[in-house]
Amino acid sequence: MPQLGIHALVWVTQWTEADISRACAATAEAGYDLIEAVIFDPAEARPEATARALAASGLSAVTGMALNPGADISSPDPAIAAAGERLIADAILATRDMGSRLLGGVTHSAMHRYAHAAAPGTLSRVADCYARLAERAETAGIRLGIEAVNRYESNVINTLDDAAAMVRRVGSPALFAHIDSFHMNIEEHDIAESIARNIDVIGHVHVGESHRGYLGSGSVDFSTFFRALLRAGYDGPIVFEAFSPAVLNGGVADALAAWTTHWTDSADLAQKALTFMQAELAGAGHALQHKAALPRRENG
Amino acid sequence: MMTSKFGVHSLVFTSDWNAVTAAAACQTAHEIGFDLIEVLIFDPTQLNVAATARAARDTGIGLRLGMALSPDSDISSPDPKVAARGEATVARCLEIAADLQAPAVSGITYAAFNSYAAPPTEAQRDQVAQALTRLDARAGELGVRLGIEPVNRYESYMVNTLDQGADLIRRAGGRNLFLHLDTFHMNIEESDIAAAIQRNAALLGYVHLADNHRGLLGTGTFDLKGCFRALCAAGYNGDYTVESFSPAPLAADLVGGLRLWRRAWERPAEAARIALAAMRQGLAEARGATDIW
Repeated sequence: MPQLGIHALVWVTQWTEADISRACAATAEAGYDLIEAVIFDPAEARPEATARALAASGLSAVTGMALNPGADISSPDPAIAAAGERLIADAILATRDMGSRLLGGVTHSAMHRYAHAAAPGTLSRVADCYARLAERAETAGIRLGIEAVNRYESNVINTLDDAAAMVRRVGSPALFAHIDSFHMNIEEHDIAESIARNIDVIGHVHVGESHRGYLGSGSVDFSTFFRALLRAGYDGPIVFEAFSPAVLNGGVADALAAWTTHWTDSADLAQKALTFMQAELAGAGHALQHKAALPRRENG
Repeated sequence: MMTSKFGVHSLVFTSDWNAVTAAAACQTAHEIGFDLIEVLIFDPTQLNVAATARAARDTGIGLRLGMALSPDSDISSPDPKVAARGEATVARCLEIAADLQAPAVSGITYAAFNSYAAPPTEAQRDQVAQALTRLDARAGELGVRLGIEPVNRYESYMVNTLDQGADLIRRAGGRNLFLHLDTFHMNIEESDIAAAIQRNAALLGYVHLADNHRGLLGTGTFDLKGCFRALCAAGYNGDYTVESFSPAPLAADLVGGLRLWRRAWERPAEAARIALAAMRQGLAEARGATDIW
């Protein structure tokens, strides 16, 4: 059974000691096993305080990150690309020090509305960079994720096939494809097919509704999504993600274009999301068990 | 009465709308079987109105007009000069619609097609509602209508859902204003699509059909069938225009603006033909399911 987690930005924006304690306590109280901490700046990741709060709450952690226009491994500007590589290298160490074994997110390019298609040669430069970062991840004992995000958040990796192709191209077991139902709902042709053909490289799953609010209140076909994951045998972490201007500050809501307040009560949202995911997984599990022929009822 | 017509967006064929490409696009759209073509007005001062009228007349295809304001010409701007330019742009597009005998202009008419850095304030909403009141009056004088298209969060702010668009129309109080649905955006922003259509049935005036990925219609995850049913059940009998985008026929800056990072298809006519088949089938099935018998 996959481990169910929740994204830290459901509770907090910053990651001060007070935020860390509050986010971990609320996560445990809502019934989750796992929290995804966001590393905006590795120097502010507070790995010791995070590890302490995790232990106190009985949680494990995964970590996420996103590159920015000044630190972007896909940039043709060598200084910006180097800054991006350094940011990920530092986030790998922060991840290790927190006790997380997995760093996901927008690691391939800046989380940014690019105005032009990626320059020729971009994928090759990004692959070379991932090869070096994969070695660092392996040394640190963690795995590094490549998250497929929608066209407005990257011009490099938008579909699961894109992410999987990059993982296979680099060929390191320290890399994995990171999927997110919010993004897949915008970019994929057939979500179940895409999961089935790439299950060997999927290492992390974000569960987000189409509008990033309450699960089940939008247009994502979660029944198809969870069935596809279980059918393919996925047993990695599954993390609920939602964003609201009611919680986020410091420009984060604006960067995510979260203009509409889809929810205000983090605890209610978190608890209902957990119930929803458990029910979807249970339903998908029952559906799978029925794949074998059922006994027929016969006349006479 | 069933009066729905099927249209195709000009960007399926070209982003360079001139006398030659207009004639070719209208001819191709007509041959495939479309009743309408939607011409996107990038800049009303640059549109070749005479050539557009000629291309439509020569092929007998109907016209619809689309538009999107820009950061430099944005009726939601706190800068009065920028706001005034935005209002003048919409007014000019309404005049062009009247000249071309198109029934309406619609699109991002309440703000810019832009990656905004902050949400709109209440004052900005009021300002836009007041501008729309004036534009509604102008539309009435000209005998055309003005449509408000909710678009996804990354393409604009203020109106991302049908409810937000309906609220703005009620604030403006216009009789010539309508909601312009787009399934690509609704797939991202709406909670229950059928319920949103039902709630706002009285204001629906135009529909853009696109799949979730904006590529070939019918090859994605969007529930086109459910959407057609909801529209039929709501009594919608307006027009349907397909948006199916690929970098293939488009200029590089537009590819960037629309973030079209993959080549969904190579041949415009083929994409249009596939879309029309899906639209006809979808509407016929929905009518079959929702007609009272």
